[in-house]
Amino acid sequence: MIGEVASVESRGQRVIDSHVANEGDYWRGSGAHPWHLDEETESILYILVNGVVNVIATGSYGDCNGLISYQDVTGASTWTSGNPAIATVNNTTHKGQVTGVSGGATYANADHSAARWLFSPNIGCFQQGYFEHMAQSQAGVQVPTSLSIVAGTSSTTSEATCTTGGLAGCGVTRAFKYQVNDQSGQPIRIANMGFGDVICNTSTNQLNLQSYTTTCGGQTGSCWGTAGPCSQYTDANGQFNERIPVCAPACISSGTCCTAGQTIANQTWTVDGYTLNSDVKSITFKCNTILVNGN
Amino acid sequence: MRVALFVPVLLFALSVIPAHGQTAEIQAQLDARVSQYSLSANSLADAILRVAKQFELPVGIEWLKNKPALQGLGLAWKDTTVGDIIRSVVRRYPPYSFRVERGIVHVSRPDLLNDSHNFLNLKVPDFFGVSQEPGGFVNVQLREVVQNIVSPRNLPPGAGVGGDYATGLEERPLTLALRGLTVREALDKLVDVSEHKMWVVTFSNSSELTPTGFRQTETLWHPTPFPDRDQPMWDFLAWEDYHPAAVGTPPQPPH
Repeated sequence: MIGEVASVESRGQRVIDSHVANEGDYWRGSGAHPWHLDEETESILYILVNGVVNVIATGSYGDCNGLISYQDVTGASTWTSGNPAIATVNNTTHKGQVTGVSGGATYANADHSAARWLFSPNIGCFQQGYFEHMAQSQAGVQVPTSLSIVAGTSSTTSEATCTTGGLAGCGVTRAFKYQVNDQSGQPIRIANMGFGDVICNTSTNQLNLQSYTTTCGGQTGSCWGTAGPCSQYTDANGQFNERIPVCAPACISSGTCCTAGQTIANQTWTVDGYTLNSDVKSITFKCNTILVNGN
Repeated sequence: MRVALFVPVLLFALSVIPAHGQTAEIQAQLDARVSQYSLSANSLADAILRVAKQFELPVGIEWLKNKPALQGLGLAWKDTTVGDIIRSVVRRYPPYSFRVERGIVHVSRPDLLNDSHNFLNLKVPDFFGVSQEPGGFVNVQLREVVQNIVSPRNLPPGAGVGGDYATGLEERPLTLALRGLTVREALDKLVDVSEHKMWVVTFSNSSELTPTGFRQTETLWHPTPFPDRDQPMWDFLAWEDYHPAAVGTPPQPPH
């Protein structure tokens, strides 16, 4: 991604390169996808709405002797946004700081002016004017929109006896990992997005489920759970573990586990402050299995 | 918060202590030398949680969210110990005290400890069993059981329960015997063996009790009392899940 110094003409060019902060620095709002503000690398910077990332522009400069040096040109560059309604790019107090505004894609641009050096066999190295270089990279502002089950992570226990409020019952527990996806169905690989969920019964309740434990607890209207966030956050990949248990006296008969129809509940997630209304999960509880949207 | 900490002494202290169990381990952590540390916090609980997160201390906090406990705090230390840091923080919030029990640093008001209105003194029912469950899910189940004592659900006969528990943590399954313990002891045990290392019970600054006679509670993420039907609630956190910027203000309405 750093500019190759292949010819005399190219020696005067500065190539603007950049990188983002590490995700390990305990900071929600951006992932750690390496991306580059140059003309040779097609990459996208992903951030959340209100997420902030500081971009550093580094110029690589080849002199007449073929030596390449690097310098931080963040402050010396002029920063602009392709669409400030999607993401702003600070050009004043915090140059290069990109802030997500709304879902969509735009460009973060850095313009930099550098002395243009040429080489002549007769007079050697000499400066002639200035070279204007603009580099840009796509900035994708992601909005949590849906959850998908990560392939290969789902498992369900065998039906077994359990107790609910002191009553004997039978049931299972299904566990899997959810990936948070954006408005385009792309994974949001960002840590520390808070989440919570609300579960509502439907008219189908053959297992006689009368209460639901939820991540955050509490109740919302006649439903169980609260949107949170309640100190539960996505991991560095924008994923989290989901565990769905059921225990019903209806599933036990004469001390033996059995089947007894199904209960269907709707589960609505809120991730990073966005309620995923377009992806309400239909959970089917059975004595020996649990389905999410029929799967 | 700005933190400057030299940890080699801490690591050394941990490496040379004999394995005398929880108490020796926590004592070694409290005795660890700290060359420099500064702390800025907006309440007693915030201060203790920041210190606990920084030094990876298992803690249990039971506090009354009144004006004195919500005082901000800014302190700096040089050439001290982790224990002295905790001690000097707690000293700023009388009448709170700290003690080490069951390998956990406890910060509490003495008058709350044996208070019959404190749900932490309830006993875990005999039917409560834990077999191969992650600690965070056990906490959710314990919360449901305790809520059913404090705020009886009066469910119809034959009622079942479903639900979910979600977390970004990778948790290992636990098999535990918690029956007969007080809720406080049960939370300590969970902190000891699970990935969650901090429990916080926040009592509302209200003289009003639940219909069954228990103090009302709130949480760090829900800084107003929950309705009676949802009492009690508490926080059960991994160190990495304490994000001071995310607590103390009511949740924003979802988009």
